[in-house]
Amino acid sequence: MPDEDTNIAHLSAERLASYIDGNLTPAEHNTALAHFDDCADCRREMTDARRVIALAPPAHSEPVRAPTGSRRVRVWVAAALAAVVVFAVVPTVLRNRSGPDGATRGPDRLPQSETVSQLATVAPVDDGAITPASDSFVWRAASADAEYRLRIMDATGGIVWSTSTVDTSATLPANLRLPQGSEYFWSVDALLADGHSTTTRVHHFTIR
Amino acid sequence: MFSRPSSSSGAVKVRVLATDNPRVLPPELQALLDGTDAASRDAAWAALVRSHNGLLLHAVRSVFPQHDAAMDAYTLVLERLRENDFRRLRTYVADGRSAFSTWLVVVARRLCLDHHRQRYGRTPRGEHDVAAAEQQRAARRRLLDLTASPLDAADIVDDASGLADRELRSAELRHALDVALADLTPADRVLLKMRFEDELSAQEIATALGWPTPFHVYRHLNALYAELRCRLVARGVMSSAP
Repeated sequence: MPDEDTNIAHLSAERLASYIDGNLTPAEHNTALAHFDDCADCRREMTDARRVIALAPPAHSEPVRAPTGSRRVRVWVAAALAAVVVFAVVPTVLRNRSGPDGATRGPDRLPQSETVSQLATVAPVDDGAITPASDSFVWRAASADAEYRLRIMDATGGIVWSTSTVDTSATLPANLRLPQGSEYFWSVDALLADGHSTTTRVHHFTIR
Repeated sequence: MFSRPSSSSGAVKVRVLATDNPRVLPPELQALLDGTDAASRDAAWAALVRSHNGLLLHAVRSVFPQHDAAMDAYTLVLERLRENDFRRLRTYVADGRSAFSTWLVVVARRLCLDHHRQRYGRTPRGEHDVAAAEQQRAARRRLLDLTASPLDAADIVDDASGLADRELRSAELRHALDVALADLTPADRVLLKMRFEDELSAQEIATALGWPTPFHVYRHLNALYAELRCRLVARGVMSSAP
């Protein structure tokens, strides 16, 4: 549809969405880039839409299952692991907040409602199965310049592997051997550019 | 000048929600389109809104940050999606090109932007042009400072009569930069515009261009500065000082 002021034909919604999802052909991709070079409206529309997608909560298209016996056990284990993470994080935060003189030295933590609405896991879904060589752990960005720490834990809460990254995905290293059918848990901590930190809840997955 | 960085699979990394396969219609939308009577379509529509209302609210708030305006716009988006027997929703094709959630965000934001224009009107052309031109000049000035050598103290002349010369020199510098920019690829220019005109962070640019990390952005920007510096030097521009 041409812009009434500039008479530039903007990218269609379908083309823009395909660009954002990275599914244009190379020729289409180059055409889109050339358009972004000329059209600040579409360029900003693309970056704004990406920002919305990165920060919005995921759609819930899956039917909600009632907890089964084994699932109920996993929920308890996940809750226990979440408690482990909280107890591991809270002393650090408290150390940052108060020095010997009682003054606040570190930033206040964000209210829970804010943290939950931003940092969220995307894949694998809770109770999902992964193929370590090909599947990645993906989460939504907490903010533009956040750093993340991904933790993989076993059923006892022991850290099997962890990594720090500025990206919103990570793949298990090839030399990490996790037995087929074994169960693990994962969570992501985010350190925001303003010094705040936040964490996801703990999710369960199995090795395919 | 540079090619797009690739992930380990050789393709740009795409983050698709586990519940949002671009080759499969969301079940609520499928039920909506397959509905044979009003009651089943209403139930499917309610389910679709329920499952995507968080996404829609984020899209709406990105255009209307104020609560009341956002709620008005949210209502309008739902009306527009529903009108004419869900005409807009029926245009979405799950052909693997885009996830439904991505398409929905783009469509919802465009409906909001249209609503914004109808409600508040466009920025007056003259005012918009002046502001845009000023912004563009400032962006080019920053870029020129990064690509040309810093001012040498020996070049400073404390002479008011040199004002006209400086204006002429500024125009020459802008022209030289325009010529150097014109030789770059569209991808390079988009990168520079995102950084200097849109003032996006490296993380935002990396996300927008599908690059793995902000460090890729910094590396490409530094390579571009060096490239532009060479082109400007070749044109006799040794300093960014007018």
